Amino acid sequence: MPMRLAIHNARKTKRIVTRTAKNILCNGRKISVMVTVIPIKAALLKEKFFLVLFDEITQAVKRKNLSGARKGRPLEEKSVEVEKDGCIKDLEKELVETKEYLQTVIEEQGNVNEELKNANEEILSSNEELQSTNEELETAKEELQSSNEELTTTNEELHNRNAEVSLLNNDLINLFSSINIPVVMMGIDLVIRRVTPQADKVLNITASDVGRSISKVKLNIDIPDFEKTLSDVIESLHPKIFEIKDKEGNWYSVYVRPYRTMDNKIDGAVALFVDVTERKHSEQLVEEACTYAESIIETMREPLIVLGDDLKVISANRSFYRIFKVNPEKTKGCFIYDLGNGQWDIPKLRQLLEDILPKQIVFNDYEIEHNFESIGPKTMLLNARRLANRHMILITMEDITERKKAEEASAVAAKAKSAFNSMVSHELRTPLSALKESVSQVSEGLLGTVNEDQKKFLEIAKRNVDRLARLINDILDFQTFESGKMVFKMENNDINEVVKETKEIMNLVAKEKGLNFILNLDERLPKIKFDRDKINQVIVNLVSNSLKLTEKGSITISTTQENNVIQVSVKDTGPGIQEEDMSRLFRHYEQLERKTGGTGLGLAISLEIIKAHDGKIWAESTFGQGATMHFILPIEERRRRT
Amino acid sequence: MKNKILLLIEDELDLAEVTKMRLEKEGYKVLTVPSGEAALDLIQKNLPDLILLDLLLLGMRGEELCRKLKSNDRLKTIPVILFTASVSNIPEVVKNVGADGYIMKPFDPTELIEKIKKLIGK
Repeated sequence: MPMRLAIHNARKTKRIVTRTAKNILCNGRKISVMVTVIPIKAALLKEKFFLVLFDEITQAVKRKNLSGARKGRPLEEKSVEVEKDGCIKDLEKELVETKEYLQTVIEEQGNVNEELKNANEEILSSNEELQSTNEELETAKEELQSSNEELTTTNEELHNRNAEVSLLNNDLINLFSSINIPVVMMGIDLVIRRVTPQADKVLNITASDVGRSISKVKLNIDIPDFEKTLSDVIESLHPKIFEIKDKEGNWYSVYVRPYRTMDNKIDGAVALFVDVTERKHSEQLVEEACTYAESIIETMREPLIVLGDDLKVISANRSFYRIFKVNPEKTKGCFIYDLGNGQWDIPKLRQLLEDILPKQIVFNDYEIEHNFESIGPKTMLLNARRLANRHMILITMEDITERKKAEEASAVAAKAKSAFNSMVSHELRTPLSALKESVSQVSEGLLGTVNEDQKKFLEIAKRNVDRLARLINDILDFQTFESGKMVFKMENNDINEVVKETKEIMNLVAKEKGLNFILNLDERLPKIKFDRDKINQVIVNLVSNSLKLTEKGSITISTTQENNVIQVSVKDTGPGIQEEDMSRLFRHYEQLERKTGGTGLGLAISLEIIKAHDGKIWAESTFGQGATMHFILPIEERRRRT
Repeated sequence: MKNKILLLIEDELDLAEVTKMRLEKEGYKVLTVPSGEAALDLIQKNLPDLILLDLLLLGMRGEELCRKLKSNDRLKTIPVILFTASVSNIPEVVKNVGADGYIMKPFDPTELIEKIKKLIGK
């Protein structure tokens, strides 16, 4: 207690304080201790430090020390003699001190308490204030956050819009530049707002005209009342379409529409110029084709009739009305069988229309013989077909009554001609035989001696009789070919032998004319089946033609084998064959310009013979450079002809 | 008196030979050629008194040769008789080509000789 008081005083006074403490229990005995508190002053030290010294006061020392120590303090001077009193006094003193001290402490405590209370209250209120501030801040923060979020969203939306707008813009630009259609957009005052690049070419409106009134631009195309049309469209809101032709003859379909904004306001007009030249052209073509087809149908000599599925007449051409002597009024819409008093109610026609046509789309050459009320007995050839959409039947009729008659007549005539020809030939041969025989007998000297001159002339006579006989044979042969009665003797033969034989016969004539007769034969040729006499005839024909036409040079016969055919060629150095004569070469009775001195049947007969052998015969020539006649015979006989 | 010269233009050699024989018997000198081209040379060289001309010749046809002769001042006075085996419209052909007469094949030799005599005498 004294120590605490001492420290307290020392702190208060900042001086050295000394106090005595008695009756302190220490190690089981009571001692008195002198407590000295010295405040330590040091600049370096922040806190106040006190040095506390404890001195035990023995009885002796105590006194001595007391006297020494208490020089500055007269208050504490006691008399040693009144120890008990002293002791009481000490105690009282101590008690007073303690009371004082306690008082001080209490006071201090009260002050401190008060201060603490105040402070506490302040703290509390501050705390409250802070709390409310905090709350406010919190709210503000939340608001900020939500504002921020809203802003972010708005920003994003704007971004998206931006992207959309840019895409839209790109699309629009691409659309404008890729549609090959001139488009002009105008405001309500007809000021050009937007044009496509194509407008330049067609209309002479360029991008630089944007902002000008359409009436100020000189257009390439002359459009009558264009401005009025535009104004009308803007006012009436009815789109207008019209067609115009530019100076180069191109056609445009012009579409003028009101310009509507998104909120459906009218803010000008849009004009589109669609190039329809092609379409116009096609239309024209179609029209021409239609007229063409119609005029063909109308000009057709054959009657033509179109029926519906119900067999009622849809239309007929002029020939139909003319030939069947009916008029369009009484025909169109009528049932086919009712036409002209029922003259078309023909069982065979019923069969065609009701049985055959439903199954077949096309039917050709359906022959009907009928006694028509208006025109008498006729033979009609009907061609019928279902038209593309299958709901119409087209029937053309050909009156073949005359043709049939002509055919019959011609068959009779052919028969008569054939009979006549063979009669003539036979009649010619008979006197010829007598003539030949007579001349032979005289020439051979059977009727007396004949001199050289006579003999020469008789030979001329005989030669010409033979020639005449050959010509008659030609005619007869040809008759037989024509009537298909020729008989072939097909046997294995060597073609080279036949060629050599021909040379034997013809060599004399060649020699007389000073021509070389050359053979160029492939000796390895196989034997093949052919009619020896007929093929001989062909080669003789070809060679005699060449001999007659060739004045100098040579005649060459060659034989070769190529694949499965044998080819025989007769080449001469004569005048050759003119291009235009080539096709007539193998025709009957054609002697062409180059007179052959024969019947003109030689090549025609040769052709028939070679055809009967399944072969081919043809000519090759450059006019002025000779001619070569070729024929081929198959090595393998494919079929036997009789 | 010098024999009159006849030129026979005929490519049927047999016919040419027998006809020549007959005419020579009548006292004419007869030259024969088988083609129009050869005839032209011969006519220039020999100037015949009369020409017998076959219409259907190889190469240059009779009509063409006749026209050539009749358009040549030196040769156009030589009479020409046409030979023909064809039956159709001969008088017209004769007129067209400017020939002086015609005779149909096969001909009667006496008729031919009469025609020749009428034109140039014996």
